[in-house]
Amino acid sequence: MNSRFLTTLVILLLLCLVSTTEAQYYFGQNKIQYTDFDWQVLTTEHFNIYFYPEEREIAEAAAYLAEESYVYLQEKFNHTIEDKVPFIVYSSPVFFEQTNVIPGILPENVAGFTEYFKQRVVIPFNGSFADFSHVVRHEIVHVFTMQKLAYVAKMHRRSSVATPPLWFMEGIAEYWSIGWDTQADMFMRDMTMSGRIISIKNMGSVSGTFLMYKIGQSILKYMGETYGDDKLTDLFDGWWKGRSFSDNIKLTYGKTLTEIGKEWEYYLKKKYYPYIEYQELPDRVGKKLTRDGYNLKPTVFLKDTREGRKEYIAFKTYRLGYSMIAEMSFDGEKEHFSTLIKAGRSEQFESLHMTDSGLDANDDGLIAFASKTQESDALYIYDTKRGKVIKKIKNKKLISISSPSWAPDRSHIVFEGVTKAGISDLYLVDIETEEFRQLTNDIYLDMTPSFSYTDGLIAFSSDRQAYGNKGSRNLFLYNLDTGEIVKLTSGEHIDESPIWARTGDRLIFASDRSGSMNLYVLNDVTNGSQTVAQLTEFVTGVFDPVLANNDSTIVFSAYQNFGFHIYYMDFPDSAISRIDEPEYTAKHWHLADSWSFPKLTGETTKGSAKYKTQLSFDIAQSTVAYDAVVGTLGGLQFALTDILGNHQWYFLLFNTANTKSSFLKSINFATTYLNKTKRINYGAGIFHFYSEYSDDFYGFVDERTYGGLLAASYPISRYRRIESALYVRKIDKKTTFFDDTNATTSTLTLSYIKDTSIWDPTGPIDGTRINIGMAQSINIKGLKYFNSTYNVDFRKYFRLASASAYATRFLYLHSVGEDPQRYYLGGSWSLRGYPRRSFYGRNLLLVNNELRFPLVNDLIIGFPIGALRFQAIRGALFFDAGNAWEDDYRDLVGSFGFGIRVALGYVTVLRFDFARKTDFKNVSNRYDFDFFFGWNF
Amino acid sequence: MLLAGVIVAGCGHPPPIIIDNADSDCAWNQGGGDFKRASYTPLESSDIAGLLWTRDFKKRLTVEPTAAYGRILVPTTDRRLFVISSTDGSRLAVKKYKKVIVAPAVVSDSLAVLLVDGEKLIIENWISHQTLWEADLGGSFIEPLVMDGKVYWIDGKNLLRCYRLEDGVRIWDRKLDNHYSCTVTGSSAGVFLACDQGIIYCYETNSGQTKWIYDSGDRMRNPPVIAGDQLVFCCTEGKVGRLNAADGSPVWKTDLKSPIIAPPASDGQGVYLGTNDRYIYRLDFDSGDVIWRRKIGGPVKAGPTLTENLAIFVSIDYRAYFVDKNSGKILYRYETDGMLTTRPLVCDGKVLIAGEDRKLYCFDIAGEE
Repeated sequence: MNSRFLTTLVILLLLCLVSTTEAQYYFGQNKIQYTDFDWQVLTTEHFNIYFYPEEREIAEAAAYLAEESYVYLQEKFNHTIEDKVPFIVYSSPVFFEQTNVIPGILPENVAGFTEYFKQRVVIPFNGSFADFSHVVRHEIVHVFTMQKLAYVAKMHRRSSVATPPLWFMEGIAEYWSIGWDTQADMFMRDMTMSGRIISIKNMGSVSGTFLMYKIGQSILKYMGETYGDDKLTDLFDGWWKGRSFSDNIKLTYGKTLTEIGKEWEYYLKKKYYPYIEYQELPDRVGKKLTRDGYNLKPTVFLKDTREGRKEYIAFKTYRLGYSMIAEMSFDGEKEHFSTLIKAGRSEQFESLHMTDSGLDANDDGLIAFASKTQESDALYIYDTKRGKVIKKIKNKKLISISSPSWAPDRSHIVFEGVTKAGISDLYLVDIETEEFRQLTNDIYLDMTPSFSYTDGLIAFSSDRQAYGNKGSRNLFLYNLDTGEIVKLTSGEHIDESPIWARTGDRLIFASDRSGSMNLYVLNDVTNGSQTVAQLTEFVTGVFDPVLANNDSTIVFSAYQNFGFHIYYMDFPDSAISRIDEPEYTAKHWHLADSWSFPKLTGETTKGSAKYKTQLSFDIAQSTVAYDAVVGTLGGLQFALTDILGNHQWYFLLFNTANTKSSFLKSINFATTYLNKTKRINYGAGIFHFYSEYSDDFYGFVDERTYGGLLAASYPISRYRRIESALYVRKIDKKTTFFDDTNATTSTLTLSYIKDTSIWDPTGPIDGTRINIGMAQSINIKGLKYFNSTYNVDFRKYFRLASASAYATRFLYLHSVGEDPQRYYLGGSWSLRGYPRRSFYGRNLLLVNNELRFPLVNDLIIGFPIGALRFQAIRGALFFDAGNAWEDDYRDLVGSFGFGIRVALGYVTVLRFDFARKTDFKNVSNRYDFDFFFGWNF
Repeated sequence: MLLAGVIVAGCGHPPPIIIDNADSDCAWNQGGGDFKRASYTPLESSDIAGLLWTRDFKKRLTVEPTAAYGRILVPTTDRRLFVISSTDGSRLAVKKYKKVIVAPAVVSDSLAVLLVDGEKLIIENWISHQTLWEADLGGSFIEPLVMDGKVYWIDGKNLLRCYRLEDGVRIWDRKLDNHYSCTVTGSSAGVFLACDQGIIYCYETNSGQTKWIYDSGDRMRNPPVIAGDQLVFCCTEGKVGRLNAADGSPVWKTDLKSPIIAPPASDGQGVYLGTNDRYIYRLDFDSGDVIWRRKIGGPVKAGPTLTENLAIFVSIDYRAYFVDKNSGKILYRYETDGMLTTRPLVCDGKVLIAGEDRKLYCFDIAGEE
């Protein structure tokens, strides 16, 4: 026998073991701890910085930046933080993704986070000191915000205060960390020019997106500049006064949020509309080639076609939840579009680093690109003629690889590489011998290298100028023969993505020196008297230039109408403006000319020590649950974890007594320890469960089970894992209809899980999910066979459109032996049209088919007291078949019908099903309605 | 009027306070005249004997204590108003209110004006705790002014109201145009208001008619401070200025280029203020020139308090700084366990500082141990 509670417990424990987010079903992708970190703690006046020795320099810089931010934000918030803030630093996003501070897979574009319960700040270093500085302060703003609001509430004896909206939280974090930047300006320009300014009341439509961050930043900038930053301080100080965020705004500013919003919208128009007089939109000057998704990093290659050799464009694109490398002709994707590489579905191509890493194609049609493969990045070469990957190159010392560029000899590639210490440098690899040569060797960010067609020169973008630590990047030249580095451009702006022309001594690059990202040409690169000319004057932003058609065409990506697309245009005959400044004369670059990582000195730093595991509360909550069989349960659950989240203790305590006399014997508890330090996550626990309940099969059940378990999970990759558990338990079960069970058993479970699914707000919409498992139990007394269970759960989702899919599930469950498990069928989660638990037996077969499609994307219903928002209302047409039986197979029964799913944020989904039953001979003449909740299968 | 030995039996009121120290030198009388705001007390000694006592109120102290006749009135965040002795901090009386008192209890003789949680303005006899009258605040949290038997306040409808203190008879009210975040101040020259946009208005005390308007050109969040027949103001971006209170004519303006959150204080010889970027200043009263500037450990959120020789600053770095007014030298520094966000109070040769660590600290500055 497997008690329901025990099964539930094992599932819950295994779910905790595997860092996943889909709690309803036993699938989920894997967060893998590939790397062993020797954690240390650096203590400063206000922070405990957690780091590993390889990144000591970065940790010390983090300490400096954190304390500097503290001083600045203490003034802004008028608040002093009482306890030291835990600050966990990773030297690379690749390591950051392994953190156990929060469960669940971290999306790739997360630059850092502040965890709510213990207010731990977790940040990766991405190679750029300026970016790091920005993110450090951004996250500390969150710490101050949370602490200030909690403090204000406590001070004024409010059990809770108004929750600030997400756009405000992120907006103030951006505003008080970076102020304003070119990227934010680009988003606002585009939004204004498109005529679709997202008002404050409609911010929910972009909630959680990068655009929301930038809009929030713009609003806060407006409020800060118009009314003063001190007013924002007042807003926080007086947060206790109002019942809502809008109230607090009114009390502080004397204006409603709507009024301030309208002012801000008018401010945007006044600021940006005049630009259109002398600046252009990309689709007015260039020809737009893509139409769907987000499209970046183009490269041009020659492809054999029926019309002869023609130039094609390979580029990165993000569509339908997946990132890809695709190709299209110069006629655009509507004429020809083909996917070359799909990522996010296999171990080989976990992530293509959409925004951080470019592509490069050589004259043989070989495309070099980088992808995350298991624990680190690999360099790949894709042969466009053969239509497959022909080479994979990895280096054990390099955890990150990006922006490869072919040498003209086609046997070498230069790229940006990052070591475990987090430092970015240029590397050269011989693709035949796979020998690596490090070209630069310093702390500066070196990126987007480009090989010249002659002369052994590599142009690249770097922050190694004196002001580079403030976020500026300029162009440099690396001489492969001498190792010399020469400055090509100067100035406190961003110059990046240089690309050599085939004809002439010039480089095309992108720069924000005019205020928005545009294209420039640097002429006479090697003759010592460079001049820069501006080629485009776009009002939004243009990136990633590449030349085609013998340098007479420029292909680029540009941002317009809330999206990134690929364009091309003729190379301008004349430049828009020309700069002949002495400062652009190339000079040798010297280390002494540049900046270094700051370090705390004096009283503010207190030294470092080895990390010691210390547990503290993570979650503590009371729980009330209702089960149709068992009845109401009330209980308590809490967790203790260490700062890094590697050691977790879970405690569950509840009581199932129905009468006072059975209170003591109905105490249920479970205690589990989980260790997530290494790749194999393991756990151990003890439990005691007792309950009395009525069951359709057993009658009245009086059941007590207690024992212990060991569990382990080995992730093969992000998408696949093997799980196993061993539990030993004493079972004492009395039922109405069957003999009592009194046994001490040992059970071994083994499962294989695969999950490549991606989700929309109501459930999976693409990919595959598989769970195959078995459990064997023996009676310890006499070591006799007890029982076995087997399960096969296979689900596949065929994507039809962005919000539509055909989903299918095959489920087979089988249990045999003494006191086998019984399975139940019926209800919205299994066989629709039939009440829950309509069928039961020790065998179960179920097949579901469902067509999922969108009905309403965003519905807001306004009430006098506020508005209710439903972000996704989906429809479903389904057909199910299945049955459960004991020994003799029973014919399948089925149902078909339609359903509506209403997503309630990311909490749950309301399910409304209308189904007609069939035994495949007859069909019921009416629809049965069922309402329940839960994600789609 | 001083009361001595008055006992009032009330229904359910806490026991009354016996006033036996009629000569107590506590300055919290906003009735018109010179230097009457509690930022300045003409106390001779500069000897700082140190901490005399502390009293733990169990709740964070976020509102400035005020004083009268040797008694200290301390509102706490659990809706109480404590009356304690300045000698040893012993509790003399306590009253609980329906909501939290959110501004300093403004005392005029036996009457205290209490601002309760943006809802009510309560005028009560703080000795007998009898409420004389109440007014609706309509969501305003702006501290009132009591002067010459009148109480002035701004309510949630943006009306400046003037009522008779003893019986709540309306004298006048007027609609205000701008948004106000700071208190009303007053002197014989008039009632002064500074709006967020940095415009200072002066109104006639008897009629509410506008007397003069001065536009500082910068934002303000603090009321102008009265120094004799002069006004001193400061702007959030760092400008500090002096005006003639009678007609609003400017005398000088100095730009410190530092963010200023807290109001200044003046004794007619200097202007003292702390900034948000951790500096404390003395400016010359006549010229506005910087006499001295010192860096301290944290931003200054509350205005300083002055005695004859000392300027006492507090900061959110948990510390109180006792500074020699003339030299700017920090004579004494004390670290508490919480942020200090309310102005120190001087009473009977002692300095009282309320901390967000729930404690009231009493320092002896009269040279006595």
